[in-house]
Amino acid sequence: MQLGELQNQIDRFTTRGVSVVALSVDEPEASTVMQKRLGLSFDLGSDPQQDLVKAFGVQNPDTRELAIHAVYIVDKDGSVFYRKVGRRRPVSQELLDAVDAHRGDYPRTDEKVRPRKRIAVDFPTNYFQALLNVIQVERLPASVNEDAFNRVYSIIQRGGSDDALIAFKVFAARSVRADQKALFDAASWLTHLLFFVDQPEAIKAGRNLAQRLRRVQELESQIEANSANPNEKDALQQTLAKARAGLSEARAAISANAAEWRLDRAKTTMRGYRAVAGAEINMRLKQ
Amino acid sequence: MKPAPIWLGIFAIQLALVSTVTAEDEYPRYKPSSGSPLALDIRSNSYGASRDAPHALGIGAVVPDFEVPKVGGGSVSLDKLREQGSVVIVFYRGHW
Repeated sequence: MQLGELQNQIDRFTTRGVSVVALSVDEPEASTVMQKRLGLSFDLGSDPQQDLVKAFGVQNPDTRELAIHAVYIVDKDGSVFYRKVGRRRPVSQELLDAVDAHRGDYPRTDEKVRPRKRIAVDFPTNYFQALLNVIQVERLPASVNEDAFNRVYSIIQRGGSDDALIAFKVFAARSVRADQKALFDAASWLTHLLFFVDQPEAIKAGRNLAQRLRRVQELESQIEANSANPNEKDALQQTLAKARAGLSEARAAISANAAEWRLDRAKTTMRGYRAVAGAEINMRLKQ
Repeated sequence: MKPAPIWLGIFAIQLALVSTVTAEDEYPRYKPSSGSPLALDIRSNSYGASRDAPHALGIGAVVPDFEVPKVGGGSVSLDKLREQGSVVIVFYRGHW
């Protein structure tokens, strides 16, 4: 279940006298932007020490720093009458059904279900500008509002949270001028932050691979441009062969650590981000 | 042997239909995951269980009361929320 969907239906919980509290392991400040953007009116609790995650037994087996997605509904006495841990996330209707069934009032026929509505995105323009620059950190122009940049950067850096995805979605939605490549770069960058920010060796290996790849491409285009000069061509071919050997070494070093760096999950996540980027582009093309 | 009249068959089918609808209306059923073959009673313990979290609190367990810092300042406590009625507790992370 996504928190925005829950928010859309919050009135139906309120009329039943049901409160909602959403818990994450982020520090409270980390979720302020998301709360504002989604217009969440229910309580967002923060459990950075994971005391509750442990007490409920919903630690994520892949990354111990996160909770697995879980929904519980408890009665007035604190006993659980509905729970859904992991796998398919329940939508609000299912939770409401659980409440009604628990009260012996299922199915309810006296309630009109409102259609889902889209929530307007309210995100400061500076954040978007900063995000645009996040994907070009090394070429950060002097004119960028550094404060805004740092704030967005820290949101994304919190890795694995809703905020990172929202930051990216907002980036994609607002980047009118960005082309597909820029969005795909952003996707790669976010994946990189989510998975490798705490793994300096992975980052080093990734940079190494990128450098060697660039070198090979440079040499290849040089050879193509110099095709008339046979003397230089031989020397370039030799250099290219060396560069290619270095490239495959860099590739081998990365695949040797694939399991430790969770490369499969990173790839899946990046595909997800890229799908978002692609969908945004398609939507814009249709407009 | 004389075959059973056709109306008897139709009646039997209708009876079966009516009784299944009534049975399904008694409690909500959902599929635990998109690949599940069957929709289960969502009140059952097996419906919401996950292999990834074998020790997660189950149906009927009493959850510990908590008071945690709230986004936007202050704190949120379960015992206060419980006073007003049932409480939905969501553990969330990224959307993937």
